[in-house]
Amino acid sequence: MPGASGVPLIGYLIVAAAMFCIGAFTALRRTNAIMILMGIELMLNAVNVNLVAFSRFVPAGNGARGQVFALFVLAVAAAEAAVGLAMVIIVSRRRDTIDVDHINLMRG
Amino acid sequence: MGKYLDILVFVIGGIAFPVGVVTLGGSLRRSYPDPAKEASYESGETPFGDARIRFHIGYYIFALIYLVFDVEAVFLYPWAVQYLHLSRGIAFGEIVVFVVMLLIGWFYAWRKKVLSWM
Amino acid sequence: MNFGTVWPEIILAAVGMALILLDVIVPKQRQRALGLVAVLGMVGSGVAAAFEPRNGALALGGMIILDPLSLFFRLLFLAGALLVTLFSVDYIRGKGRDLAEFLALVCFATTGAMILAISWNVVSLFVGLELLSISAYVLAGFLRDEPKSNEAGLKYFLNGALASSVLLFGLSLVYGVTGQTGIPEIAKALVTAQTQGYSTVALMGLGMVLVGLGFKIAAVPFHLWAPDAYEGSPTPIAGFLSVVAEGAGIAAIIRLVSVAMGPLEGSWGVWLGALSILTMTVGNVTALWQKNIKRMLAYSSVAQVGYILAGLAVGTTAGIGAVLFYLAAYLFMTMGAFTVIASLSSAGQGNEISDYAGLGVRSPILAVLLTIFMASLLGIPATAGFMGKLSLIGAAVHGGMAWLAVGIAVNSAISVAYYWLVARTMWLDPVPEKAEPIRRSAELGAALVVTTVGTLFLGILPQVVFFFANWASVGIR
Repeated sequence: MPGASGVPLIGYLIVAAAMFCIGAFTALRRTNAIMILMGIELMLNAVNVNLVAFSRFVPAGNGARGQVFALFVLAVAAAEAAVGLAMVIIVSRRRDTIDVDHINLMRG
Repeated sequence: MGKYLDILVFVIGGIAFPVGVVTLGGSLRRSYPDPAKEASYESGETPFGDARIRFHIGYYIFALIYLVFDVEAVFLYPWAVQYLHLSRGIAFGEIVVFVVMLLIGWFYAWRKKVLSWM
Repeated sequence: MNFGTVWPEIILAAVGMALILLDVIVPKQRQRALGLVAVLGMVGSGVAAAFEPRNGALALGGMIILDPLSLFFRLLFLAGALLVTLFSVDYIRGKGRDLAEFLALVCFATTGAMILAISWNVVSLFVGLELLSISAYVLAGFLRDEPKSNEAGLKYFLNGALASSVLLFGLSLVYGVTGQTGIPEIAKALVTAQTQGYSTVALMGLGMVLVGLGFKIAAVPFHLWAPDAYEGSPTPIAGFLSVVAEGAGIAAIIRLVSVAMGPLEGSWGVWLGALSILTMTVGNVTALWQKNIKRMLAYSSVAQVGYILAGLAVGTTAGIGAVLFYLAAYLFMTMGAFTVIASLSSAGQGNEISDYAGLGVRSPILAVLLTIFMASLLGIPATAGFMGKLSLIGAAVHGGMAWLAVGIAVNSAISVAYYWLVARTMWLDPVPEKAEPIRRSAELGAALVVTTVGTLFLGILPQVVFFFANWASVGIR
């Protein structure tokens, strides 16, 4: 069943999966804390694409659930980004680096 | 495919219009170069320095607080859309509680002197 | 809508916000009294929880379930938060940081954990989990002036946020397959979805949910953040992370994996068992060569998570009951161990195991208590840990997964080495030259009494909590 725009569900899912993978790759591969954070945000947005796309295609009456879920993901992502950036700011003030490879006081 | 053709027409038109207007204007008017004309427009302020500087860390604190409050407002929309279908007294009370919670956060940030420029 | 059903959460969140307001009103020197406000709020919340229905009633449009499991987790998290509050009052003030802000964050985090545990819908479950996690990130990095605490907060945040996004992607796939966000509706829709050939997507979703929650509870191979987060965090928060945050992760696994995705076919119980064995073995073996006691306890708690996962892998009512009992035992023994560490570091002692030399002479009481907690973590008879392991092993044998029981027994034998190292250092190593006697505050004393009594009580008279745990595990559906 295609949506109103004519794009089938699989199209949205491929975009979301690609976003998720790019985000995951960025988060795991980069060492700059801000870049890791951006990767995580991209992953969360992939989730939102998934949820909103599914909400259009699941049986009628169940669509609103996905959209509300997406709203909550949005709000939580903002709170998470705010806390994370604040932490990065504190670390960069004290250590002059936000490269997680160099943030390694503890070992073992 | 018909709908994608519309998009193509829009893309071509969207590129052609500004390029065409600027080229046409440039070919019709006379040229009086002046440094003031090259300067970027800063809402009437005199621009200074380079744009590629390290911004003061204070901006980020403001931006973070703005971000959180801005996004929390997203919950007002579904509430407003559904308001007429809910029992109004309770729905109104709920959103008042929500806004009061945000206000407590704002009050805390204010009293902790986060909102004053350092 | 009936808000009466979430009074415990409302009370705790309101106390948190009151603490924030009091923080800017009460002058800094007199903030010690705010500890009392938090304690009263938590006790009030616990009393309210005891009066809630527990017959499986649904509330708030089916988002919330009030069954015995909800009651169990509410009380467990409140007890953990109460102990953290008791032993953080002096610790945080000693570090020169805002007590009220700290306690408010503890209240919010606990509220999140409770919301997670009573959720009957993945959306509210997710919101509770994030309220807990985001508050916990800040708490881990709370000592702003200590680079180690900054680092702990940042690492915990980056790993936790990554875990959340993986978990969410899994949940979005489950929503796509079932079209539902309610936990019982998902379970029902998964049965039909499998007949329509969507089981691969559903299994992918389940796998991602498990990976995300595995990060949150520090199961191997997703545990690498845990030692740094524990070592760098304020000591009370290390206790909070290992008891409340991990307990909440276990609650999420019970609700999401055992209940919502229970109908999924496939041998994921065996996979969970393999994860359990891997987690306990890696945790115990790595703990063997730790020099810092907080770091050692971090690996020890990774191992404990492994034991708990064994009960979840069995998945029977007895298995879940054993998990719940173990969580209660774990609360007292871990919190007790961290309380001893916190009272020693408030007295200016370091956190290296070698710093504990001669503690048996310098402060015999603390040394005896730490020995009891270590014995319980190890599983010596007459302690809570022993009864917990016994019930886990029993559930594994009866559930037809005897290899898990063997794994637990072998791992307990490995763990003797590092617990014994601490005991030997305390009792047999010579007293250092400039050893000072150690004083304790009233709050720390109270926390120590509660954790010790709890550890011994659960070891000697476990019936009451056993009964509660089994009662809570019967109705999970």
